Amino acid sequence: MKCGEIKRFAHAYIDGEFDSSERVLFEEHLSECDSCREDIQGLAVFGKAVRERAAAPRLSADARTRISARVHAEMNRTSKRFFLMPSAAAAAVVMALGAFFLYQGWQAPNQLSHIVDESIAAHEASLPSEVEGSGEAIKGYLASKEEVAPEPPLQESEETRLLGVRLTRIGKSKALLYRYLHNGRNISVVQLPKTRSNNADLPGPTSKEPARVVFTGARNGHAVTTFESAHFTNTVIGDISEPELLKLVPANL
Amino acid sequence: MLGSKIKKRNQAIEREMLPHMDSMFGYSLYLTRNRTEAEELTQETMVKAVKAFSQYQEGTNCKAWLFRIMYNTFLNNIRKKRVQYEFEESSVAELADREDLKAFVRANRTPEESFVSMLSRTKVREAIEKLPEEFKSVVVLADLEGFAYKEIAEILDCPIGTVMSRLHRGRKLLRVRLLHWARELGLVESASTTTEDAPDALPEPENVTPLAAYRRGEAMSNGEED
Repeated sequence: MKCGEIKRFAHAYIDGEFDSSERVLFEEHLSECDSCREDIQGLAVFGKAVRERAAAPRLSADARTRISARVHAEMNRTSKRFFLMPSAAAAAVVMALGAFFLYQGWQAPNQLSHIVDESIAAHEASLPSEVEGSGEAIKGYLASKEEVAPEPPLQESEETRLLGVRLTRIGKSKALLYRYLHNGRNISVVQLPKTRSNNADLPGPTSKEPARVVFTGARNGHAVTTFESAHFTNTVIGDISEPELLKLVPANL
Repeated sequence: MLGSKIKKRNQAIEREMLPHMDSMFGYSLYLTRNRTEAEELTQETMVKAVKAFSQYQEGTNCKAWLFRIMYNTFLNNIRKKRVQYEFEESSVAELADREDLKAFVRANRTPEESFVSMLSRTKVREAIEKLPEEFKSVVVLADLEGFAYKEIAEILDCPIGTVMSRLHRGRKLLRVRLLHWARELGLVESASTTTEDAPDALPEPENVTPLAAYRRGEAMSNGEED
């Protein structure tokens, strides 16, 4: 080999891209040529020094939890058969959350904790919307749906766009699952009509009163806020910070 | 309870994909230069990979497969967002090939490990982050993630020869920059030989000569101020 070839393949050599016979040829030259040997040594040492100093920081614990939760949600979503067995899945989620809340010493009323749990499960399931599109199309769909026509729970803006809605269930009650995109992040809102049973311990405001936040916290890697309006209990779940999520709660309903 | 096929798939995802989360974040941080965006890119890539997991062949290199998805996602996001990431022009790299810089490096035959290890980790990371994208990826993938050239070629979807030449130039550029910073900080003695004009000829990464100006020849006279 000649110096020119050594220079040309220096990087491939130090990166271990050569097979043993090529390496022998290469090293023959190095043993005879001080200048090339120096260059190669310089390259190798430089690479090692950069490697030692440039390792990227690791994910924060928060981010790891969030990404992991999202990946698992996607795994569950694509495991269709998994969701044909809702009882097992729901039981697992409820048990996991139950243990978690017990550990956290969370004292929310049972009804509310149930709503939060199931809302998170609905958020994580990421099932497709039944109606997609603009706010108007969705309002049309909603108007045809219930006695008390539901209203999309969050104000739409440039930052917050309504993507779709589907019917879901929280326990035995019918509920609506709204999908929003807020600054590129998915936000779900589970809207549950208030009934005697589920508002017994949560007396709601009248329609003129502002939305009342009855729960807020970080659960299962998501920020969660539940607020009451005149006719509905809305649980907002998102992979954003709690304060940011709280800002989405409309000041007045 | 679970279909055994799905169970197997989910186990494979847990076993083969999730352990690479940190490496993926590391690469995405170099690509986006922003923690939040890097987290998003990592998540987006992971979700895509779960959706496409049937296309992954077990036993092949899962990390390289994930990195390829990540790189494509990153490129698509740039297109969608209409270039939110400001890249340096490749002209910087062309400058690294110029004779005066070669002379500059030669005249500064400082033991590599000493000047690199004198610079802070932040500074070394910054120098890599500010490499033009085409060079940054090969340097990060080869030096920090330890991929073979063939795998890098697959991730970046380019020929192996391109990987080699980019790596060659990327490392050279990185070395020149780090050496320049080390000199500026007084960590390395100034060259005693004939390189008066070399430091000025090296553009500061923050203040890169736009390609257009470079082509017009505005930045070509040696030793001028940026």
